[in-house]
Amino acid sequence: MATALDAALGGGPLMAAVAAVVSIGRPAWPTRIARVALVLAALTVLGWLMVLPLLAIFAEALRHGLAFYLQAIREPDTLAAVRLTLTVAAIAVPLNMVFGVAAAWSMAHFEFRGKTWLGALIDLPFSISPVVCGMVLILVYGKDGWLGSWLEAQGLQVIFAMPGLVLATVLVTLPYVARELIPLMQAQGSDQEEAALTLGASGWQIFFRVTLPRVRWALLYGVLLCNARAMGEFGAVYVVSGHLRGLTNTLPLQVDQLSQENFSAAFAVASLLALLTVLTLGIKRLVEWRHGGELRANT
Amino acid sequence: MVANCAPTPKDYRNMGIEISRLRRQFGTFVALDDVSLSIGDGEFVAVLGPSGSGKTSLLRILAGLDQPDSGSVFRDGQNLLALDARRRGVGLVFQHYALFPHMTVAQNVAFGLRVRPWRLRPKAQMIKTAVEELLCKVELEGLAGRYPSQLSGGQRQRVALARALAIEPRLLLLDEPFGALDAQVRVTLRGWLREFHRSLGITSLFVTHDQDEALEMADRVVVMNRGRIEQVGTPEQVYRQPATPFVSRFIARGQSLPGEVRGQHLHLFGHAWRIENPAVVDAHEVAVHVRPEDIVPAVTPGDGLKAQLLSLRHVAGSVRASLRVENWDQPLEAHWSERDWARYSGATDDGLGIHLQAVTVFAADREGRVHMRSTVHPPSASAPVAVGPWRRIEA
Amino acid sequence: MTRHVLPGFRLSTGYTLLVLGSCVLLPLTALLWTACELGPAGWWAQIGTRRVLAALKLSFGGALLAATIDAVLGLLVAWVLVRYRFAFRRQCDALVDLPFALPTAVAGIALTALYAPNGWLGSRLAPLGIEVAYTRLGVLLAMVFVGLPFVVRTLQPVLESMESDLEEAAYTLGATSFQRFFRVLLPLLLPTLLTGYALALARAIGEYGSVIFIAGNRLFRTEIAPYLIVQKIDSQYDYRGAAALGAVMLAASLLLLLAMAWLQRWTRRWAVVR
Repeated sequence: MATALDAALGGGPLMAAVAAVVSIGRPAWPTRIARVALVLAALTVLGWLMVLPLLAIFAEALRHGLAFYLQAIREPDTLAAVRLTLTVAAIAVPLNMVFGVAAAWSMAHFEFRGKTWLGALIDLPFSISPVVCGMVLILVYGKDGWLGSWLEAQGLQVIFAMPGLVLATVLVTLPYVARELIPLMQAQGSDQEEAALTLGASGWQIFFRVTLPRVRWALLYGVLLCNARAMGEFGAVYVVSGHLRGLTNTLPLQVDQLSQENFSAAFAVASLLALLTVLTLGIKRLVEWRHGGELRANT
Repeated sequence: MVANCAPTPKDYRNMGIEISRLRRQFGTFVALDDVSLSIGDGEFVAVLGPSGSGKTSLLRILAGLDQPDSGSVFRDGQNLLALDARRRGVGLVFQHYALFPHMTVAQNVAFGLRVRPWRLRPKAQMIKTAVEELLCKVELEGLAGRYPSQLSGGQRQRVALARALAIEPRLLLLDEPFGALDAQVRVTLRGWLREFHRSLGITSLFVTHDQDEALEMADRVVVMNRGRIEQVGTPEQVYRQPATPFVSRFIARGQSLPGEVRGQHLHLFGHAWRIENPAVVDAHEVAVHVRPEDIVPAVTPGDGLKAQLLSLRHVAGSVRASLRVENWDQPLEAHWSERDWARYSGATDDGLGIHLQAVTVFAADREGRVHMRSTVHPPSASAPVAVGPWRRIEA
Repeated sequence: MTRHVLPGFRLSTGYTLLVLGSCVLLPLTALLWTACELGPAGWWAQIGTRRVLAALKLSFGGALLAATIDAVLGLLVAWVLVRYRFAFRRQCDALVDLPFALPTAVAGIALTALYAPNGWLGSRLAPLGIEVAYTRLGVLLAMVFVGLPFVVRTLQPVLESMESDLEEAAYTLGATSFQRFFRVLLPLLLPTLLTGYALALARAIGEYGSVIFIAGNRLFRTEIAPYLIVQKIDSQYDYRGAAALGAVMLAASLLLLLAMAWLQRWTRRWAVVR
């Protein structure tokens, strides 16, 4: 009752909104109206910021009909970009998976000096601009870079070639798997691993039979996000690729180049990436729904 | 194996576990301070102590999950510390069981056999038989296909036990075996585990902070405090003859009394007893303890020490009284049976008289190292009695 | 004697350090090295131009504003998603992740298509005198878009774990709904909200793909700092200038990380008391 009274006395939309937010028990009328208003406001934000852009992509892609759409996708350069994107992701994602698992094993099961710093370093790529990530790679692995000239002498070109794309992708997506696994494994503690050890299991046996089954969904989750980001990475890859059409153009770079020539074709290619996104979000949701308990540390 | 070991003063063969001078420090916190202990073959030993007393550290070192800073552990002449946890053949039942949640009961129990190196791994059929036997032993037949989350606390504990036993350990360690169970299940399982150990005869060590648990189940009790062993003895010994004031407090709920030694006499509540033993006369510090069950009400009103009844609780067959004795500001706890209380019940609002049937005197020397202990049975009158005989205990 | 009981310490830590060293530490050192070689004067010669300063101002100013907007909108969305039950709630929840998963270039051209003068929204806003595409408003919009999920996803678990017993406790103690919100809920949420704010800010400062399309990259007006870095590398091969600018961006990221670490400690200390 106090709630209704507050709302009535306070009047005004802010008070009503506040009353809706913190009402307890069966809400009174002004509170219920405010609740509906809050939900509508949130839906508007989501619709405006999220749904509209997503719809725009597909609408623009299909503006000139299905035939045009299919033709734009079958373009040889686009197909080459698809192949390159898949190849880069196929190398970068497993690399990051191994890294994430190793980092989580180290952070969850051992105490050592500098552990806090290691954790901060793992997170670092999250907060660095992708463009800066790409640039620093050029400084090291580029023609005039610290290692670039030596690597070139060995016959390995990194920048403006595949290795550079992979390296940039790895750097930008480095924390994804580790971030999912570290808090989970830290919360689970080392008891079960120690139990397995006293029962005579070797290190790999402990990992594959005890640890992995318990973190598999979190691992999948991390890999999923890592993959989405790897296939969609633009800034870092843009800097190191040199964007040679048909050679070092990944899908997002192809979208960028096409957008300067043929907007609809650009959207056709973009819709492929958007589909990947929707698929990723769908699977992610499914994993959260079916195995939510195994993702979070607190259960 | 024996040939590789450093020369040892004794032949440890068939002598069970010999722990000597273990020390383990975490930063400035000393978890184990010069701990020595021998455990006989097939013995069931309880390590009892409050939290932070170092008992879990001891367990983890024995299991190979931690290494001591110094000291040694030998099993039948074999240096246990040189073996890593994997090859130690020590079964450990974790406090929260650490069952693998993604495996069924049968898979959990079979784990230790399945992870053996290929050469030593039993055939699938043999593993199956072994698991069935173990589940039968711990009375869990029929639950083989369940997952740990589908079991009750007591059942989980027995799965953890079966899993630890599957590797045929020569030493079984249990970390707070009943800590995660509710009170009723606890009491039932105590007896079961005691019998179970008897039927297996495997050398076992369990850690607990629960006095009743330790005294009821173990052959011998190791009382630990602040990383040191205060006393090792049978349940009867640690209750009847506590070696230190800590053991008296912790095991027998011993309560301090304002006793002091002046000259040749022990003074307590206005009574004085002559002391014959020179060690006590020379003692630097004296502690006088009385157990709750050794405070009895006087039959005739006006007799004994004057005390005031602060509160009285009837707890399923026993009466627990809180008393204030004249000239002593600490309330004393007394435990009587309902029958005794009914017999004595002459208490008035003014108070009642009490007798101390037995008090325990601890005397420490100037370094505080050597404790002297004796139990005194003061007669009701203040007749001089000889305090003694004394036993020297290195603590 | 090693105290590490479980196996694999050397392998896992070694591999982690190897990857971090070659992919993160070495390149970042190269950046700082190159920037340091310039010396303060050389560095200022690169940074102090009108074009660079305008870009930095837009990047940081826009990001600050965008993160603030994200904090408000994010609190609203997180609250509604956690506390209320309504149709399509699950789908809405999934949508929040869109900016995480949607490739930035795709988001960029989608926003541009929507807000361009001939676009679906742009054509409706133009008569009102509101131009979004190719203006600073467009930059802000893109930054708000990429930052929103950080705030929502940081707040959600905390809101869920708070349940309603705290409010109920405050209720039984006689607090009005206004007091319950401002005295109980907001202080509890504040550290988390600030963490989300810092994350959104870091992302908005560094964002490239989503912003450049809708920004139009007009000289002095809508160029962002990452765009200038790309320009310097791509068309001018000016690695030193890029490094000078990159060092500023990196410093900003590191400062934000420090602030977040401090925030997290604050939250954790609090969590113990609770």
